[in-house]
Amino acid sequence: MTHDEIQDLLEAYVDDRLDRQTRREVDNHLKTCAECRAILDDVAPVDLHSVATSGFDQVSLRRMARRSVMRTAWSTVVLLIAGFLLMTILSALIYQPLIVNRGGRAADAARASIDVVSMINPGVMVVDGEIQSGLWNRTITLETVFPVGSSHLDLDPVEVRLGASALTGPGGAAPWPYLLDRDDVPDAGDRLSRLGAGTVATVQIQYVEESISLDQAQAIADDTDYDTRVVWAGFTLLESDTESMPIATAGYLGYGTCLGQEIFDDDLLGATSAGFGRSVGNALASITGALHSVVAALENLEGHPDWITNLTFHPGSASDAREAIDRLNSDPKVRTLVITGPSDELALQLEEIAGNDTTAQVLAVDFYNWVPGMCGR
Amino acid sequence: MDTYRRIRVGRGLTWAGILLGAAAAGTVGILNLTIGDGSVYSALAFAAMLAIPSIFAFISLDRRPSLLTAATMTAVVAGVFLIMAGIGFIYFLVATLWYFANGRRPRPAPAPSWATWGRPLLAAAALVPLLVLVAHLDPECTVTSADGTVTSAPADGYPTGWSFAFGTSGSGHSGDGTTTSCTSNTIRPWEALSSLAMTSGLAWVGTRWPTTAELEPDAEIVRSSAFD
Repeated sequence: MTHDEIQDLLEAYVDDRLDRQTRREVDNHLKTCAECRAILDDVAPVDLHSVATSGFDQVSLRRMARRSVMRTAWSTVVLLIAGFLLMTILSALIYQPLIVNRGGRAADAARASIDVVSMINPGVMVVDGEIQSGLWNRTITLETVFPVGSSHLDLDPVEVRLGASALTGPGGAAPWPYLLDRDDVPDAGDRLSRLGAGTVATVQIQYVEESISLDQAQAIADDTDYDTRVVWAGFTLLESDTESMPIATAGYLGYGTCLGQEIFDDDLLGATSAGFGRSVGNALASITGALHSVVAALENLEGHPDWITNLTFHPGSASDAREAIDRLNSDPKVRTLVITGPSDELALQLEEIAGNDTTAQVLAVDFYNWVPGMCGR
Repeated sequence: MDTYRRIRVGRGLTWAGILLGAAAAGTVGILNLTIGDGSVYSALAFAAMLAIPSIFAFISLDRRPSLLTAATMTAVVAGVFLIMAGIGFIYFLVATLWYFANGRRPRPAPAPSWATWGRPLLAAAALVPLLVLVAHLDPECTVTSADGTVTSAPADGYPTGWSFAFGTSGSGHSGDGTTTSCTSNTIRPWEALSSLAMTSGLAWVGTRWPTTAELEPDAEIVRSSAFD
């Protein structure tokens, strides 16, 4: 493209009317052509051709003025609508949460939530809570501890939104089942009314498990007629083969205590009953596995009637139980087997099997109805 | 600064905004896929949706300067949407870059007469792909056992159906190593694909935006008469 041709295109260049290829050529020329750049400066400021196209007769000028007024009016209306929409969005995202959180409502919501969680989950203790304002709601996260032998799947969460409450009823199958009818739990409804109108609160629960301490387990044992010494108290083991994950298993053995202490010494005995409960989809398998574990453990105990053990079970963890029992072989004090189970029915089953297969004393414990009093609950 | 440099700086600012907006959109997509547990579909949908401002701005470079205003408005909308996510400020930065890029024009950008309402409408339409994504509540729960096996679990009790709502999620751990996670609204493939289709539609509308040549088909003749 020649120097003159480029100059003819400068007007179009300013108004962005050139295709990519032509624009690039003009750009390249302008880089080195001071004269063209100077012309460009003259071309730029006024859009003369727009004036030229309209002509100058009175009718045209009147029409132009009318269009201009209409355009301004339209612009104003559109801008007002756009502004309104934008402010609505901003309000929903920013200001509303700020307003909702005002006046201690968040704290009220948290307190009420804690009440409800405690109420519909007997034995559960809320130890910490946190409130977070999100895009569309406010989330209250509660840290809870709950009875030995149960799992978070057994807990009933609470959801509260803008005056409506959602509580789970007992026996819900879903991990986070919501009952949308607050009348299902009248007392909960009363407590939730403390939230106040306009409160937005979504309660989610994070579960932190703790087991019982040695002292507390010993206290339980002291309530019995047996002279027992508790060497380990806890309830959790990995649901995995100890041969493939021995270290993790050891860690879990020492994990489950109320006091958070790591207890893992030579006279330890422990397996677990966690998972006995309403685990999703595998309750039957869990019980079966647990019973096998019991049988295996009792077989080991037959030759050691003076052992004392606190033996709990985990589905499919017969090898865990065996390992734990092997550790006890060196402890001559053991003479009682304490079987812990999540329900009366299961505890009785375990007791029956134990009674048939071993000479060891068996104490069946119904964790769900008996243990919640432990750990200060 | 001479006119040539002003124009060049303006285009440079436009490109910077395009790249920044695209990078932010890609980041959101990746985060959705990794941290947010989103599916590939939803990650693509989110990324495409948030890339709309950059798409508009890119199209505006080809003789559609008035579309840059629409891109700026769309970037503001994206920024508002992401304002709480931390990454929203990037879109405000992008919008600012384009605002200054537009200001670098030596003359007002030629625009169709309906651009006054067409541009904010286009920016508002950018919300449609987002609304499509969350148009239907689809709760979902998964249970991850200690050995890493993941199974789905019933999400009974979670509300489901046609309702605009973003997902809330929660998870819990049991002592046996089982982790249960629930979210009140997952992005289904059909939602993501619909959103992608909407985004594509918006991009198509951008490409149909009249060029300056179309706005003034006889510009050459007119200019000749004006300068004669």
